[in-house]
Amino acid sequence: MKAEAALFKEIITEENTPLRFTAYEKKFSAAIHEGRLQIFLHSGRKEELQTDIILPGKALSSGTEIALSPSLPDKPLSLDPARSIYVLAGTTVSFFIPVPLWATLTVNGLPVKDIVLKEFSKTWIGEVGQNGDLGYTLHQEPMKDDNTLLPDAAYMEVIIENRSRLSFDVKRLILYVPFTSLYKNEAGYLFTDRQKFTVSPSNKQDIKLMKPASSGIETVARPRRKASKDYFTRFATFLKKVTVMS
Amino acid sequence: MFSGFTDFIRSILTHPALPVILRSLAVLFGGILFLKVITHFIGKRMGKKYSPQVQMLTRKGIFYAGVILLLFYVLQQAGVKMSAIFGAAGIAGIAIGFAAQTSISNIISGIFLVSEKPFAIGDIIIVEGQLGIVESMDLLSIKLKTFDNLFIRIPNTTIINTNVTNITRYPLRRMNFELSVAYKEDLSRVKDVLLDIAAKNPYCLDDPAPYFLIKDFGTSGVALLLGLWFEKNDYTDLKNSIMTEILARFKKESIEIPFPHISVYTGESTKPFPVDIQKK
Repeated sequence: MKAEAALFKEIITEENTPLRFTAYEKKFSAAIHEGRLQIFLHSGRKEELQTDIILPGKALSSGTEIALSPSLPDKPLSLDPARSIYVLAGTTVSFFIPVPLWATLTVNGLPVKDIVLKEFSKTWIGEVGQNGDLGYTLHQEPMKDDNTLLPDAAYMEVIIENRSRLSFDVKRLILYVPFTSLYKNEAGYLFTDRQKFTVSPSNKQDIKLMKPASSGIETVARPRRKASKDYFTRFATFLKKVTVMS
Repeated sequence: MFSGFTDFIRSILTHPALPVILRSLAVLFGGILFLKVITHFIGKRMGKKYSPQVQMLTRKGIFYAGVILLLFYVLQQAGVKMSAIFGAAGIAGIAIGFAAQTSISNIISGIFLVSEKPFAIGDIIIVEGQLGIVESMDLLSIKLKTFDNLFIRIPNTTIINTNVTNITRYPLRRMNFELSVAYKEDLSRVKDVLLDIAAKNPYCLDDPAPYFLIKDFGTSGVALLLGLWFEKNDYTDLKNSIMTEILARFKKESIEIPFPHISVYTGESTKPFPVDIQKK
């Protein structure tokens, strides 16, 4: 999505005067009432309170600035494509995954909370009951290019390099979204770090995060978490449910 | 009187054994201080690598061993015969051993527990039917706090000798829902409904996938098992939400959960059961 449309900023100076706005194709309203800033997310007839903040005494006289910035989900995403991704021996495939965006609400420049624009269902990434991490399930089809403008998603380029002698069928991919940054390119589109999966000739799996290939990019949001040295290898495999075919 | 007092003081200060006594006391107190400093630094060095119980055992072990060695040195310096001490200690050891065998057994069991690590502080465990959160693991016993705020002390030997279930050892758990549906129900439709409920529940994990099993042909209905995986902290939320949703959805889909019932036959299933109403 275009980054200019992704950043919303407004200053509220009057109490009891709701400010209605649309961001990320969602409807919001914000109002200050009895010294408290309340922000609602509207979906249909439902109104969901996102935040209720007590403002300092002088906030109204100087104006209260609220802003919504794009951010990435806070947990890794488990990608379950409807059709599995087949990678021949000795080949490299790459594709784009639209990663649904969240929004970070800031009040007077201070981040307050994440606005969950897309609800995900929870899943487990790793061995059952052992080492692993909580993640979200993402039902999304890979895209060949990033030319289509999407309303509320950022593109993540995924590269799978198969240097082994065996072809494999990838039925599930883990996207380590909390460890990536969010960027804006010159055309105003949003991207995350690229994620490269490599399977070595000895069938050892490796993962690397790399900056997007395009130049002139600007960082919009930093990674939420810093991965420990063994985080990516600790879960045994990032390519879940791989069928090795000779 | 005053001269008598001063003579007494003078006799103490000029006693030939005074330098030995003073030196022994200095060694004893200086040694204890040194041991405290050493054990403090050892505890800090062990840091987060070792559990608090291991740190406590190591610090106390080093401290008390050091104090015993200091005492032996001081007594030796004071001219006490060590052979007599060892002899008395041996006899005392036997007496203490008989008197304190339960406590010593608990201490040894505590050491085994620390090395085996079946649970840690903060884990929820079941021991002999008692469910609670482990509050502390001490030399003689462990302390549990139940969910209705009761305090339970369990000797370490009990822990070693019985089955202990650690509910929170692993990050995930599976919650099993056993339910029964009437024989007239379409089981594949029931399965679809249950799996749909699981898919829409925010606490139920997509992976590992929900588990569905047709368990048995029961006396009143078909027994089913639905196993849902969840993160260990979501137990109550998952249980309440799934039970509520199953009831509501079954009602909406007209899926019958049968009450226990018995069908009575007269011998032929087609003829009505004969009832004879007698007027008084």
